[in-house]
Amino acid sequence: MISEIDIYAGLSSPIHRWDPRLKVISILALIFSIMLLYDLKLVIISMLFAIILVYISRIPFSFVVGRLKWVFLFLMPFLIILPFTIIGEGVEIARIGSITLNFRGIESVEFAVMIVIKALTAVMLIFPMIGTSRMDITIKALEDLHLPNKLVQMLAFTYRYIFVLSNEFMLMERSLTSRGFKRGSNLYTITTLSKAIATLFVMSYEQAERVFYAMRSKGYAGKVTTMHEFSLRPQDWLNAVVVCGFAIFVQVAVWYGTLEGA
Amino acid sequence: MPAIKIQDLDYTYNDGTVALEHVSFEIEKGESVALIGPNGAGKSTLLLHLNGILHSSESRESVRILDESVDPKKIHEMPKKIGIVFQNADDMLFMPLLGDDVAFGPINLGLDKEEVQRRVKDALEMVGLAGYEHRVPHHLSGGEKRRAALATVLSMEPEILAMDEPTANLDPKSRRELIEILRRFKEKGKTLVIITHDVNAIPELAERVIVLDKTVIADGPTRDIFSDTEMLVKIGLDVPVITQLFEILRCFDYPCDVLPLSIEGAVTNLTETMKGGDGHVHLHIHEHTHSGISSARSKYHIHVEKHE
Repeated sequence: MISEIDIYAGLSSPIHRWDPRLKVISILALIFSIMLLYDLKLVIISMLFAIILVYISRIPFSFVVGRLKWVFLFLMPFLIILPFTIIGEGVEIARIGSITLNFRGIESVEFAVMIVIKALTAVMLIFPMIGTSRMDITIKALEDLHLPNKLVQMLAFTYRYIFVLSNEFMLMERSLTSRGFKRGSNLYTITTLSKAIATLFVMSYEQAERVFYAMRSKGYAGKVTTMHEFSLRPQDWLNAVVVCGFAIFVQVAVWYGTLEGA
Repeated sequence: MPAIKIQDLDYTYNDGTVALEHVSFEIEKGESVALIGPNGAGKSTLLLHLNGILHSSESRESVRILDESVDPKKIHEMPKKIGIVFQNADDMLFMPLLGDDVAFGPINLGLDKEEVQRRVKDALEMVGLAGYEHRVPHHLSGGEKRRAALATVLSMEPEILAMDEPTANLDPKSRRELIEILRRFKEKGKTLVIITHDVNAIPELAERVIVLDKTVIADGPTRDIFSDTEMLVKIGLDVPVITQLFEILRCFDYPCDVLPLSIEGAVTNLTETMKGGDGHVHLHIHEHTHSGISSARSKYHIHVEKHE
């Protein structure tokens, strides 16, 4: 059983071989840099850069697109609402009761498209960042980057117990099905499943307590440390220079743009 | 010096359920003891008292491990002395990789890196999982998980090992493997405490049995405890199958004063009997044989109330 999050972690690519610490930092820097952009051209260039990264990482585009679909669904309202709500006064094109619909020109459409592409690019970059190392290695990388220990532990335990909980829920569902329960779109289904989920919560609480006992029995006094060690090669730094370099490049381009504008 | 000394231990759960009442016993260093008792007898609760995870104000100083009383504030110092393996292996394996899980205890003990690595390697070897450092715990089989959980405790090299239901829910091979691992631990002169319902495994693992049902019902050498069938059956416990078989054989006039508890005991017993009988074993059916068999069988028959 490989969890979906780790499904492409076993591939071999330059991104997979990249030291997870530098990978997380560099791509995160790139994401932040892209989020600060408000220039459609630069955002499109960034998206192309992100596509190249995904291509190099060998994560199938179908997989990425399949997930981006849901993000796009969430972003759709921006495409529809933004052209009528920002920049200037606009031209009235419709009136429904007390609501007037003012089209604010092609700039506002561009702005909406820019926002959507920017968001999609940021989400797309998560794939080479997280999807190219096993989750436990990424968690260790975060620990090595001195992320607060409590946060690292929360991540580690969430990751570990997703399997336990999903397994428990699967067993519960099987036991429901074997006693004649059929899922449908009715109140009975909802109440039954919510009861099952409530029980799952109680069970997970009790399990968490037992795990805590086990940790205490093994000398746990508040800090989790692991043995894994990372080592940096020149190639890791080179990758970081390329990705961070691009992040800086787009910001410099914005800066020059404003200089020229002035 | 006793490895474990419990003096008048009481424990009541928050909801008022009495789990333990006036429990007292001592276990010497190097002894191996089986803790048996019906479900809900407080065995697991007692286990959690051994390293101070459960404690109550009225029973302070009740538990002493290696001649030091267990201080609930210093639980993190206990693993050096006593390692506890819980019933559910999933509770024990909480790190991303098995290697991390096995290293968890030694790292907490503040050992240096080489020593941690050595212990991880040794512990995994001891349980037959050498080279499993980079395996993901939730991908292991049930038997492997149980052994992995044991390795996470063995890596702390405790003086005393306490294990809750080591052989429950294992296939025969995994069960056998686990018994062998525990035997080897015992042979090193370490102290072993096991909670179990697997009466057929007890003669191999423990020379002494403590029967617990909220309080200590009986405490003595394994043979003596298993001779007291009446007491065992009364609280709903069993006697090894081999013992039951030899009791039946006795009804067929098989000469046997001391009933064997295990296959090994049975082999010795049969060999001796054959030596005395010119290479033969003689069994006979008499008038009283059948009634003898029924009374022997009813002796082991646990009474279950029938609901109409």
